[in-house]
Amino acid sequence: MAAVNLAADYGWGPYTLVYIFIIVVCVTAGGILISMLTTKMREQSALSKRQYRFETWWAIGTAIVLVWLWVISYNWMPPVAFSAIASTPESSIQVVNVTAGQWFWLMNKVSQGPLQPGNSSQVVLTAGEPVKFIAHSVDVNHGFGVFAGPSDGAPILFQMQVIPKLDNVFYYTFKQPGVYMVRCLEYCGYSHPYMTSSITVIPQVAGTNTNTNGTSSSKTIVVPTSAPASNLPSPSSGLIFAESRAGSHILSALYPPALAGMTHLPNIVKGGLS
Amino acid sequence: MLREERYPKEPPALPQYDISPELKKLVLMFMGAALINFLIAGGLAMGMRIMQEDVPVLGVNTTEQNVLWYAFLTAHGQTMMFGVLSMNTMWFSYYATSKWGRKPLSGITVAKASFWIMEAAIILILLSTLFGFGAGWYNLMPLTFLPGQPDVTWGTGAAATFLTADVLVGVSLTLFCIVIITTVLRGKIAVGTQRRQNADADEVHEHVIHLENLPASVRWASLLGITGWFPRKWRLATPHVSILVVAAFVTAMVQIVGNPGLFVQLAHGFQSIQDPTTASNWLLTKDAWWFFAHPIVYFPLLIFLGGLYFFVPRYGKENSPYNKWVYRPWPFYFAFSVLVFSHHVFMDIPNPVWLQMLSQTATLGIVWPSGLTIITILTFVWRSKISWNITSRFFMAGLAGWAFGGFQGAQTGMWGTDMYLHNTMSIPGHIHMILLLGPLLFAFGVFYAIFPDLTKKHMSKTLGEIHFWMTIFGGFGFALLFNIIGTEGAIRREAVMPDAWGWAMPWLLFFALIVGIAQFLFVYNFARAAKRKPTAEEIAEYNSLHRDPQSMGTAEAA
Repeated sequence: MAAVNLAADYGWGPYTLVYIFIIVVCVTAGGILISMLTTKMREQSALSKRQYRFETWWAIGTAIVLVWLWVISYNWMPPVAFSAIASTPESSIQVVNVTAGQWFWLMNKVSQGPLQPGNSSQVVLTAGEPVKFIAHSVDVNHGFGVFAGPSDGAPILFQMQVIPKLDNVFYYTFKQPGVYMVRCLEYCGYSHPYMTSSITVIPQVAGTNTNTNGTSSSKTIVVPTSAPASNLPSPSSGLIFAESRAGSHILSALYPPALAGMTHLPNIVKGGLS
Repeated sequence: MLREERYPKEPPALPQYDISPELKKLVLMFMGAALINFLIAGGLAMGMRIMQEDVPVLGVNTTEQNVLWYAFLTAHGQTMMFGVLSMNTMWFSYYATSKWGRKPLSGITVAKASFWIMEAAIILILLSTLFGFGAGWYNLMPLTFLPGQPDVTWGTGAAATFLTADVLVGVSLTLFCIVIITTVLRGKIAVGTQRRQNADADEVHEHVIHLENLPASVRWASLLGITGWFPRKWRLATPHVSILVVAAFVTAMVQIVGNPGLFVQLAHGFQSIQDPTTASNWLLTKDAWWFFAHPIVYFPLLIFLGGLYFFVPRYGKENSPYNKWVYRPWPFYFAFSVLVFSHHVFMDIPNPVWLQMLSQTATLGIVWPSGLTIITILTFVWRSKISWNITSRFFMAGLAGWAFGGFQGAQTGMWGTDMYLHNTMSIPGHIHMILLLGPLLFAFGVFYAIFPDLTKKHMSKTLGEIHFWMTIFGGFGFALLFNIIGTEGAIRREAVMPDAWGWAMPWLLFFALIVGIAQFLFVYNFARAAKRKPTAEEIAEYNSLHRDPQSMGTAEAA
C-alpha cells in the first residue's frame, strides 16, 4: 500500500528540529564569542585580496548547502508528497470530509454517507491506508492540525489551513493505531483554544468494517437528533454553509440548543456535548 | 549621581555633513513616538503574559478575558510592527539618506506627514482595541467581520476603525518610500571613488568622497549594490554610494513594491464589510496581505543592516567602506524580500504549486545574502580590533539575534519542516528573535550613536550598560523559550495555554518583565538627557566635529 511520507517520516521530526536548533544556537553563539575574544588589529596595508577569499568560499559553500536543502525538501512539497498515492485505487483511499466552524470540527467518512443525527462527529480510520481529508470552513480561516497523540504535548503530525469557500485537501497515511488529537492551528476567534476533536485509528485487520464512525471519545459531539436530516452537512457539498453570513449562527439555528451553546460557551465546548 | 560620559573608545568624527535642524527635530519626534509606542506595546504584551498566568483581570469571566487577550495580541503586533519597528526604520532612513547622501531630503514636509499619519494610525489601532477588536496583527479576513459573537467581542465599527488605521499605515509607508527614492534619485549625491595607493597592496585604495550627478544607469547599479558584482576593473572605476544610502534605497524600493498588497487586502475588506461571506476570495486576500507583510518584516531590518556594515568596521578602525562583499548581498535582498512572502501561506494547500515552489526557492534564496552579511560582519570583527562600546555591543547582539532568528526562518521556509512549525510558538520565537533581537537592538545601537549628533548631548553610559544587559538577558530568554516550546508542539495565539506548557508561563513573564524594566530605564535615560542643557565639553566636541560641514576629504562618513 502506498503511503504519504512527510518530513518526519524521513527522520526530520520536531525533536530533530529542536536538536538542530540547539546545535546551531550553540555553534553560532560560540563563534561570536570567540570572535569577540580573539579580535586583533591588522594593519590596513596587510589586508590583501587573499584575505577576502574566505568570503568567496563561504558564499560558494552556503549556496551549495541551500541548493542541497532545496533538493531534499522537494520530496516534501504537497504535490510531490501526495503523488505517492496517485496510483492507489480510489477504493483503497479513506476519504474524510472535515467541516470546520467557530468552534467545532465535524468529520465523517464519505463511504458512510451524509452525517446523520446521532452519529459521532469524529471518525475511525484504519492504519496503513491512505486518507484523503477534504476540509471546508463554514465561516473563517481555521487550521486543521493533527497531533501524534491524544492530548497536548504530542508533536504535530501534519496540518493545513482550512480556507472558506475552497476545497482544502490533504493526504496522509496513519502508521500507528491510536487516538490522535485534532486542534485548530489558526486563530479563529476568542474560543479558538477550545476547538479540538480527535481521530481514532485502528489496526488494519482483514474483514474489519472501517466504515463506521466511532463514538467512544470523551470529547465526542453527537449531532442532536432534533435536527432535520436534510439540513445536516452533506459530504458531497462541503460548502453547504459557506454562503451563509456566519456559519456558527446557521448551525445554532439548525441544531438547537446544543450547538448554539457550543459556539458561544467555551467551557461547554471544552467539556464536550455527548 | 550618574555621570555623563562619552562612550569609551568612541571613534571621532561621525558627523561631517550636518543635517537640517528641521530633520533633526523630525528624527527626535520619531524616536520619542516610537519609544512611547514601544512602552504601550510592551505593556500589552505584559498584560497577555499575566493573563496566561490565569490571573483574573478586573473580575471578568473567561470569555471576556479571552476577548481581551486577543485584542491585546492584535494591538501589540501592529503597534510593534508599525509604531515601533517601522518608525525606527523611518527615522534612521531619513537621517542616513540625508547625512551620508550629503543632501537635504526631498520633501521634508512629506516626511513630516509620514510621521503624523503613522502616529494617527497607531492611535486608531489602539482605539479599536478598546472596542475589543482582535483579529490578529495580520488581520486575517474574514475573521475581521465574523468574530463569532459581536455582542461579546467586536462589531463592525471596530473593524472599520482598524481597517482605516491600516489604510493610514499604507499611506505613511508609501510617503516614506517616495521621499527616500526621490531624494537619492534626484540631483547630486555623495559618492566615493577609489584610488590605488600602491601597487603592492591589491585591495588598498584611497577613498575620495565627492558630490556627483551620476548617470541613471550608474546610479541604479550603485544604489542596488549591483556594482559589487562588477569585474574588478569596472568596480574600481565606478563611483560608490554609501552603504547606508544603498540600504535606505533598497528598503524603500522593497516596500513600495509590497505596499499594493496591503491596499488590495484592505480593498477586499472594505468591500466585504456588509457581506463578508459572499464578496471575497479569502485566499487572494491572505496572499495579498503577505505580499505586503513579508516586506514589512524586512522593512525594519534592511536599513539597520546598512548601519551594521557602516558602524562595525568603523568601531574596528578598519577603513574598508567599499569592500565588494558589503554591496554584493543587496541585489538579492531587493529581489527576494518580496518574493519570499508566500512561505507564509505554505499550509494553504489550494495555492498554486508554482507559488509554493517560488516561496521555497525565494526563502532559501534570501538565506544566502543574509549568510553573506553575517560572515562579512564577523570577519570584519575578526580582522580588526573592535572597540566594545554600547553601540558595537548592541550591534553584535543584534547580529546574533538576527542570525538565530534567520536560521528559524530558513526552517519555516521549507514546506517539509514548516509543517511542524507553522503556527506553533516557534513562530513568535522566530519573530522576536529576528525583529526584537535584531533590528530593535540595531536601532538601540544607532540611537546611542547618533544622539549626540542630534542633541549635542550624550546619554548616560551607566544606564545604557544596564539597558543593554537587561534587554539581552530578558529578550533572548523569552525568545528562546518561545522557540523551545513551539518546536515541541505548543500552539501560538492560545489565550489559554494548555497545561502541558504551563511550566513555561512564569518564566516567560519573568523574562518579559526584565525586558520591560530595561526599557523604562532607557526612556528615563533618553528623557533625562534630552531635558538637560549640553555641557561645555559636549558643545566643544560637537563644534569640532562640525567645523567644516562641507568637508569631503575622508572616507569616514561614507
